[in-house]
Amino acid sequence: MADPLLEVRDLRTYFHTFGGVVKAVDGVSFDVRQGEVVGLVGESGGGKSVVGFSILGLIDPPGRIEAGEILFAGENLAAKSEEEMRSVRGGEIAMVFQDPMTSLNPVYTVGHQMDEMLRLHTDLDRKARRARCVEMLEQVGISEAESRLDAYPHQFSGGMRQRVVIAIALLAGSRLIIADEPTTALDVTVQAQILKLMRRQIVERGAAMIMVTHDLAVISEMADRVVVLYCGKVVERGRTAEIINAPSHPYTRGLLDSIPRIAERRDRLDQIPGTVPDIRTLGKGCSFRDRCFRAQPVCAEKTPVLSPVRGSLDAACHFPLEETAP
Amino acid sequence: MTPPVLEVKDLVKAFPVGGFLDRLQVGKGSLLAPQRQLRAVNGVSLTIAPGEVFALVGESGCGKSTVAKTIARIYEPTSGEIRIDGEDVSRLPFRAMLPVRRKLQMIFQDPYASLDPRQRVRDIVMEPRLAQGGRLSRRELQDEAVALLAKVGLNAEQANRYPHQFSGGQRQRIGIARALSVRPTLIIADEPVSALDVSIQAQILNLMKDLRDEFRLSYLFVSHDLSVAHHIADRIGVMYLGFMVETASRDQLFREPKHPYTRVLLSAAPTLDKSNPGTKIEIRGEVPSALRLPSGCCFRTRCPLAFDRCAVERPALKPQADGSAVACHLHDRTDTERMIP
Ligand SMILES: Nc1ncnc2c1ncn2[C@@H]1O[C@H](COP(=O)(O)OP(=O)(O)O)[C@@H](O)[C@H]1O
Ligand SMILES: Nc1ncnc2c1ncn2[C@@H]1O[C@H](COP(=O)(O)OP(=O)(O)O)[C@@H](O)[C@H]1O
Ligand code: SF4
Ligand SMILES: [Mg+2]
Ligand SMILES: [Mg+2]
Repeated sequence: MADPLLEVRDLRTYFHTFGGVVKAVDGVSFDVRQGEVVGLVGESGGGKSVVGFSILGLIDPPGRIEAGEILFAGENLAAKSEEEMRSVRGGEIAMVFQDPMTSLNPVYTVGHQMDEMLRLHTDLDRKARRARCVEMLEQVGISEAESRLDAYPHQFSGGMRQRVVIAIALLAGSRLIIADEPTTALDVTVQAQILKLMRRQIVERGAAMIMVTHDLAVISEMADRVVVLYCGKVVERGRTAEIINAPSHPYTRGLLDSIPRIAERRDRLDQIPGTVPDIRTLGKGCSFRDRCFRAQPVCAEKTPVLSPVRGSLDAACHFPLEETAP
Repeated sequence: MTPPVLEVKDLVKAFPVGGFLDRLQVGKGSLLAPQRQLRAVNGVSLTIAPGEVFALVGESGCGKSTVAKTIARIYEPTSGEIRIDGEDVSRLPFRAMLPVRRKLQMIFQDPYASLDPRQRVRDIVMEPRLAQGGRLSRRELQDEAVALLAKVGLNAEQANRYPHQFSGGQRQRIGIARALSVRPTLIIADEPVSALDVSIQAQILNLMKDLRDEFRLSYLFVSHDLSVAHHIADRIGVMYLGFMVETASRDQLFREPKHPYTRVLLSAAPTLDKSNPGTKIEIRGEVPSALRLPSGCCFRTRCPLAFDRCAVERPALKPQADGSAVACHLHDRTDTERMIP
């Protein structure tokens, strides 16, 4: 199997706040290979976005990467200077956020912003660059591309802006795209178009993507592999189909069972009792134990470590679920 | 047969937009300022039976919230009828709405914004009840508030706290308790679980189902999430650009969606149960502006099946043999040659 493009090893990103240390990401490890989409899922506050920001070197005080390695094509990004990271961002690694205006500049035309990407990353002349921009806008499904190049971001709808952001990432020839809830603010018909577009571009270009989302349905359609985060830790990871069909961690199972499903309607949804604990006050033991239907006394004593369970699945649980679990 | 709890007929809501200067135009040698209107709801009809859950679905901006808020008389209807238990309330002045509010309550998507941060929870939940008049002693007030909170899974000690001391899911419970305080027959819920994480969403959906059974409530449940609508609704209405394009029982709608837009919407929604995004129906273009509705069918600018009649004639919502109703010329029974494959 090909070497991973990205290896995240025991990443720890903490925020030192007045209320205590927030261990937003606490020992997270996973890989991303070429041509692959890896999904980061879990409920809000799980640490998904902080993982993405850590890879991009976008953690500001009071936050800090305390430990761990982020190996991208063999180089440790966690050890790079801010200046070095600035050229990685928007170059080898691109980002797509929920709000496309995070990445677009309202005072420049879309064409100008696309052109800048090409000037930075290619030695094409003016005319060739313009042709390339038109071609790229068409590829992301924007019609009348030629005239749209002279429009400003505010003249586009939310879905169109997100397409432009993706077009810019593709122009830069990024090898890794980190997309944080890229379609959460969009309508389902637009979401379907954008997801299809991103998936196709990743596969065709042999790039890779980390897709951060709270939406397991989106993940199940998009990702090859899934990493489930809870309270800053990986509780389960593995191939998408295996995780969706027969998860081994009680938290993943709880998440899946709480989602209404059209194909198998139940009168009541299974609910995970309680709420996410305050991560500033987590002690030893499993962070999920107070909400877990499998918990035993040992779960409060020993912190479970991520280990192989079955098939492609790794889970951090003292009592992982069997494939045929009730 | 018991009369419907809610009957809405040809509801129209238009918002005037733009400043006077924006609208100035030169015409026939003089300055004119024609009234510009944003047509948010264009002749929506729906009926809800006692104990029934009717879900309103569609993409953002299609007018779901405006329908909900106009029925609750937060907005004045431009035209149309709104009957609650048979009584037309669409023209009732504000004060005459008071007894109607005993039957109809609303809950909102954002539990943060809809609760007064300076009031204690017990006062918040009793507010609609107190608005109905009649005096309650402090003791009665406290007891009733605690009983209501117990119904939604909150305890007596929590009655004395302030909204910021609660999580999003708990705040939604408070909003539900407040709505229940007058023992309404109809609750209008505008995206009540959309801001919540899935595990909390499941808790609230279960609670709403339990309360419906216990109090025989009807819900008008607004949601952009088809799986949620499928879970909670008995019947579903699909809106597009301010029009109701299809209404059907839940099972009918998902088994055999008829309107081309309903088909697009169902196929676009991501689910855990199919893993092939390649099977989605492609749709072109964007939703037209509610300031300039297309002629004819509202969906024709994007419809993969549009034909000449669609541009000239607006399809009415026509009842179908199976009890559903569809606003599409392909489902107009007088036009039998053309049927959707
Ligand atoms: N700038 C910050 N300062 C303090 N805490 C933060 C900051 N950014 C994130 N956090 C905390 O880190 C945790 C993980 O957040 P996040 O990665 O945004 O979660 P997710 O994306 O999974 O919803 C949360 O508890 C959040 O409150
Ligand atoms: N108070 C208002 N004033 C002017 N336009 C409004 C107002 N509320 C909603 N609209 C417009 O009415 C249309 C329908 O909006 P809304 O009912 O909020 O849709 P939905 O709830 O389906 O997302 C949109 O075009 C919206 O911009
Ligand atoms: S370790 Fe224990 S508490 Fe944690 S998920 Fe597994 S069974 Fe539940
Ligand atoms: Mg996030
Ligand atoms: Mg709305």
